[in-house]
Amino acid sequence: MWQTAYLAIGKDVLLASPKAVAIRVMELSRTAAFWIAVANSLSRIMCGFLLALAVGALLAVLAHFVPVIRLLLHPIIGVVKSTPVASFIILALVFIRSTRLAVFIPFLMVFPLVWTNIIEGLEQVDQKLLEMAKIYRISRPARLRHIYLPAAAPYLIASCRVGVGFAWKSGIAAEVLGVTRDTIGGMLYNSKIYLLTLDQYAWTAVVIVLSILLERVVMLLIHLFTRKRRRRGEENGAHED
Amino acid sequence: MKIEMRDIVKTFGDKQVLKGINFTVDQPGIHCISGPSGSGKTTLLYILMGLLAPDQGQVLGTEHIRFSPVFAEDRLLPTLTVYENVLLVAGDQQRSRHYLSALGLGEGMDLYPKALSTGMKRRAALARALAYGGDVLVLDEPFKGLDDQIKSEALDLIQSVGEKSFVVFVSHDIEMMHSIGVQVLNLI
Repeated sequence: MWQTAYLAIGKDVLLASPKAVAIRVMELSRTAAFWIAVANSLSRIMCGFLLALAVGALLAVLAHFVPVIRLLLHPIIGVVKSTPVASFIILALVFIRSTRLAVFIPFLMVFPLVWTNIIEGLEQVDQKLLEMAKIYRISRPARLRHIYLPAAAPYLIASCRVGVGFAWKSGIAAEVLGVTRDTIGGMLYNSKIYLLTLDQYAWTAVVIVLSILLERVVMLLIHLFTRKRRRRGEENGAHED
Repeated sequence: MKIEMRDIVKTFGDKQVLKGINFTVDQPGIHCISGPSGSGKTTLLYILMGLLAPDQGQVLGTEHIRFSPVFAEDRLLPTLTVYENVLLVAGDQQRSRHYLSALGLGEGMDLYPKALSTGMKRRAALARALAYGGDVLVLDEPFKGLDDQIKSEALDLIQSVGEKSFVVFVSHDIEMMHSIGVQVLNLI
């Protein structure tokens, strides 16, 4: 489809051919600047993503047990959710260095997602199991590990799956608007400024490929994390009296 | 030890389930509560254990009591094996294995609740209650889904506990209740 569109338009400055983009990506990947940009973008965006996971999960647990925290956070999360990412980037640029923007913006995009999902997961906790835990005086850490965590885990996994894409796209957008040097977003911005259409497409292709790879890696990590439990469950077949 | 439930009243919506119930547990043995389905047996147990507040009446003497319940549902943690479920509350490996083996679950200790039959789940829940070793063993229809052989063995185990300790046993089987109980409260 891309090739057909390229042939129909027939102007390289507007739409580059798939083959030319592939060749350009190969060329770029042979330069140190390419790998520096990829490393910078990946490390900063993933830092923001992981930070959002940790802070979102922690605050969700706190909010579940302390209603005041939930009451205070709820409107803030609502505002963050409904504010366009571009507004945040422009506002944040006043206070934050552009290199840190690629950490802050993914954090801001993923944090509400994690918070909302985990809160929902914690609300699904089986009250009958909690009653059992209360009567048997099961410790709070054990309740968290064996009752709350299994209830919240599917919601946490869902927020990881969606959140990694969110983080990546918002992080790149932050780099573009922040004109961050030595990053994928910065390279994209320079390509636009200098009308390097082929480079623009090449860097966009890199963003897409890395986005897919990132999602796969996150899902692989989740799979490895949950495999042990699943395998143990599968090994134990059903029994009858 | 003396537990006293005085003039317990509990209403759900328009239906008054418990109408001024008095029930006292002041000696070791099996204290039975019987009655047809919907007569408030489980509700009374919940009030006894402090999981539900009565609308009227008082429960005395339960402040420092540790209850070992077998709930009407098995309430096993799905992410733990049978053995881990028992060990989590018992805190003692030997004790956990002992009761699981005594209830015929020696071979099934490493199974997850999902893989258990109804009867096995019931036995696991009973093993957990026995291994916990609380002050009062509270049993809500513990033989549901058990075959006669296992039921008889489990009953022997409960009766041996009842010789020295306090057991509150809920069942719709009025005949069995009269044969094993030091007292039988019949809810109608």
